[in-house]
Amino acid sequence: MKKLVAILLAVLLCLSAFSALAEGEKTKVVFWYSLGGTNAEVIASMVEAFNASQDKIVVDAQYQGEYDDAINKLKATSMGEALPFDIVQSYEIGSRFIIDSQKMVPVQTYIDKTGFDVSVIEPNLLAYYTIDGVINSMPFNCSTPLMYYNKTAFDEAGITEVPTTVDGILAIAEKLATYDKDGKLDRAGFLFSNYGWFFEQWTGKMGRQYVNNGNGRESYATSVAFDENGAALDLFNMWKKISESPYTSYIERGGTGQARAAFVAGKTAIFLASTANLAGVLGNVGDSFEVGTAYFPYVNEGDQGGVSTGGGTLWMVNSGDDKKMDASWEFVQYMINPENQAVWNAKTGYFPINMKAHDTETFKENIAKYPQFQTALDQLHASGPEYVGSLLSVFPEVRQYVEDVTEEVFLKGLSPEEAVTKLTNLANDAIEMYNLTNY
Amino acid sequence: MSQATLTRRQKNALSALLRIGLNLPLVLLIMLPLIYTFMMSGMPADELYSRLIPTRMDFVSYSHVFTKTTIPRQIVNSFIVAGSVTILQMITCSMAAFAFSFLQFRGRNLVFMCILATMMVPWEATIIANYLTVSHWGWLDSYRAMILPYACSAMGIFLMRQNYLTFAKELHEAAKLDGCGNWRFLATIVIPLARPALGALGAYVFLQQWNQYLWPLLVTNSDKVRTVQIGISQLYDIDSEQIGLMMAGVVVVLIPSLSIFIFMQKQLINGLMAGAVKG
Amino acid sequence: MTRMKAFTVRRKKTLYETIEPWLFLLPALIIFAVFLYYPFFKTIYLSTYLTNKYGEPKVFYELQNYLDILVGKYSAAFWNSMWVTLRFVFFVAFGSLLVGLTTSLLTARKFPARAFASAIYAMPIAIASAAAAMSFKMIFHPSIGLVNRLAGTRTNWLNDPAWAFPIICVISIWLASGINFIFISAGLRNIPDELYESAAIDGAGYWHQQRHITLPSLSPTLFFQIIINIISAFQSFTQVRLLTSGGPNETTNVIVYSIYLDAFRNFRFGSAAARSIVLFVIIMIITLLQFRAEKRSVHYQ
Repeated sequence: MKKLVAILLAVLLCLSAFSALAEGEKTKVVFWYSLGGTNAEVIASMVEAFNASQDKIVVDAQYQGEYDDAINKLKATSMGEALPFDIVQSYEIGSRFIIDSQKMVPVQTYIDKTGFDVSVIEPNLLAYYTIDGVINSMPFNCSTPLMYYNKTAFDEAGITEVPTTVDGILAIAEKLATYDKDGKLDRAGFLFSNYGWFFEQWTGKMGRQYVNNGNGRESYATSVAFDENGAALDLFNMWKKISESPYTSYIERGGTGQARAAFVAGKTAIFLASTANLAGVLGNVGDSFEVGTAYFPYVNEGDQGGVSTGGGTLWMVNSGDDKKMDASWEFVQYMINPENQAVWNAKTGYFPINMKAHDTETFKENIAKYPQFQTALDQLHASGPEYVGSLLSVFPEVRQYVEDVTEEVFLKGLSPEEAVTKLTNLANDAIEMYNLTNY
Repeated sequence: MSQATLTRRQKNALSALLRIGLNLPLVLLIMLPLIYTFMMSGMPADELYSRLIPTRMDFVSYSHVFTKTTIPRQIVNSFIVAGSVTILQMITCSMAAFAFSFLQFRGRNLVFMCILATMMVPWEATIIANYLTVSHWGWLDSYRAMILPYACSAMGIFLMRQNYLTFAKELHEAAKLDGCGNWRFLATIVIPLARPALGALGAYVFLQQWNQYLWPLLVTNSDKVRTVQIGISQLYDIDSEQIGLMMAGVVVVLIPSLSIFIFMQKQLINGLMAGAVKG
Repeated sequence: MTRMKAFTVRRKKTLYETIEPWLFLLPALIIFAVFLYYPFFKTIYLSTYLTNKYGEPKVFYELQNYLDILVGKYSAAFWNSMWVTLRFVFFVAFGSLLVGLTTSLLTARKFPARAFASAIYAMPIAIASAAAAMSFKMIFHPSIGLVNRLAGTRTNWLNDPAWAFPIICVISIWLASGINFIFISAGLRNIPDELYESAAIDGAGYWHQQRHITLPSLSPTLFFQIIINIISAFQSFTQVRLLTSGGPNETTNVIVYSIYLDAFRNFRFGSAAARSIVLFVIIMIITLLQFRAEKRSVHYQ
């Protein structure tokens, strides 16, 4: 028995020692990323290609779960002294929090140091991540929300004009809905996921602000703005109308996965999702029907506004180790070079942040085969830097409250006015508590 | 044979049939989730949206589990963590239980009560502070963080003490007369005698650690040290190929724990029962 | 009664002998001190503060955290969580007891395949809640899950405010049925056969026997098991996190989950600590009430 224990302990020790063996003299860069599924595979292959293409740097890509999980990890590890990673991909709403942590080095430093030409990057994207003239993180997987529709179904229903507003969608929903033999809704006219991101995008499409202090850009936000500027009320009224429509149902919250699956299975003619899902959707739909993409719909007729970016950027850690930081910058540049961005675009749907990618063969071939990819780009160009999104430290928490309250409007019949009050109180409380203890 | 009453033999046969009939549906009901999971893990991707029961089983998802996911590494991690905790608990609990059952000292009952009291404290009351402790010590993302907090348990001490109390006191007396020190007594006489209970404890602890979710989720970030339960929870994705992958992942992760259960079933159940009855 | 006491020399214990027991206890005491006692008191300490996102206490808040969750701005949500939790614990604790009792009774007498059935009934103790959650996620999948396939519906069960709670209860009962089976079976085995035999001779039927022999004899076991079930149900977390995230509409937001959110999503450790302490107090009260009830209703032989 004793011998067994001794052997077991020895084995355990060996295993742990083995895993601690260094990788040689190559500079190791730890890259935390958050994309799952097929998109993660693309990242993995790009990282592999980078490692294989040179022998001075080795990138260790580690999947951190969803963006929400990843930012929690980030918060957790910020408590320790050294961050256990060199580059982290984080979503746009984590920006304020990350900047506050003061553990990152703005990529501007490296842009200046190496004379990187930023004019090749989509200006609307850079605008979001530039604060006080400093580019903090490098856009990597940027997306805008799109409206996806079943073109074949549209043709069958005799719909020739793709709607540009939510009311327009509601109007044609009846023609698109189909029923099964029991008279129950089989294919919904449309399915909108209760995704907090859409709330932010719609606010931008109305040309209004999410929080105060210049949308959190002039200085850190101290309260929300969507109550006073009426954005929240308009949105909850919209959700109320949607909940009353017999041609749709409550599908999910926190993402668009179920809506996507429903679309692929032919159970909805329209749904909303990020352009990042385009490649996946096209792949899963195959030849079943034709997929169309259009601009994210306006809430009200006559709205003036635009979408802001979603997706993620790459942040570089200020580890103090110049060799590592230089290596990280090398990797960042690799990931945004034209060819890689073209491949990235074709395989996922995120649009290329590097405008030079439009000139590559990869890109041109892809657009020729799947013109749907162009929509997101056009939408981005149609928007403007003034509709760039907001910065908020407690964004993730507030997004959850948005989804909570929307759910109540949809499922429990909470009145839009009450919903606005409820959301405003929850959000402002979160902001106040954060500001009280962290600034 | 008379037609009026059934013979004893027939009565027994009827009774047996009745019992099988009553048990069968319940057994199937309890097994249902597992059967379904296994079936879905082999469902070919093209039949996924069209049928409930597959016409053929396609086990490609299992190879994907080992090639496309981080689960293999996580299995190793889970073994390391669960194995270490098991060994450590067997050691620390045996030692503490020995003190409570064979040795006399002042405050013995008080300390024992204090330790038993910890069984009543739910983990919520300590997890936040433990998390802060561990992160301030820089232990995040390490095996230590997952192993050491569980290196001893009140339940283990309780179980082993119950077991030791069944040994004859004379054993200890005799050993003392022979000049055998307490340490040697514990190691060479008590432990071998307590093997069944140790086996039960080991199996129980290993299972409990293998199945841990929240604590590893909080204290680990990288796949280097992450454990399997977190791994399978991250497999969820809507793409059709991923469903088979997810189910196969669940099956793969269930195999070690089910194996331990099957092999150690007798000891595990007897050990737990012994602890329960006296309690 | 007066016997001559055996002449034992009671020499003074050496220093080593006094210390020795403590050496055996040392590892256990260290682990408990660091990971059980200290954190418990630290949690109480933290609950009186507002912390920053790193968990460092920043603003001394006195009892305001408690007031906020019990009567103040977070109280509506907190009491909702409390109500959800109490219902959940009730259903799961008694539900799994019932299942365990049923399966134990069903396997009390010999019959072919009894060993197999017993193994299956005990098996859920080996199943991780994360694994079970993923399985059930598939079972209740809106398009291709087992339930929807069999019923021909397309309901999104886990997203339906009416169904999410019962489903989480069912999963938890399934998971806990194993341990209930094991302990109750042990209790059953301890009931002497003679009791049943004499009752049978007296003409008592099966149900009569169960009511008057089995249940009273099992009462210590059942009592013990209910406490275990309650404490463990209060700690159920994984199923909620992976399947419903506390929703839809807060219908599955058990207190444990709300503590997790407050601490690890909102990073308000002070408030989360206060919730933990309140939860602890509630569990203690329920357990003490149970012990009180035991004195009155449990039969010991």
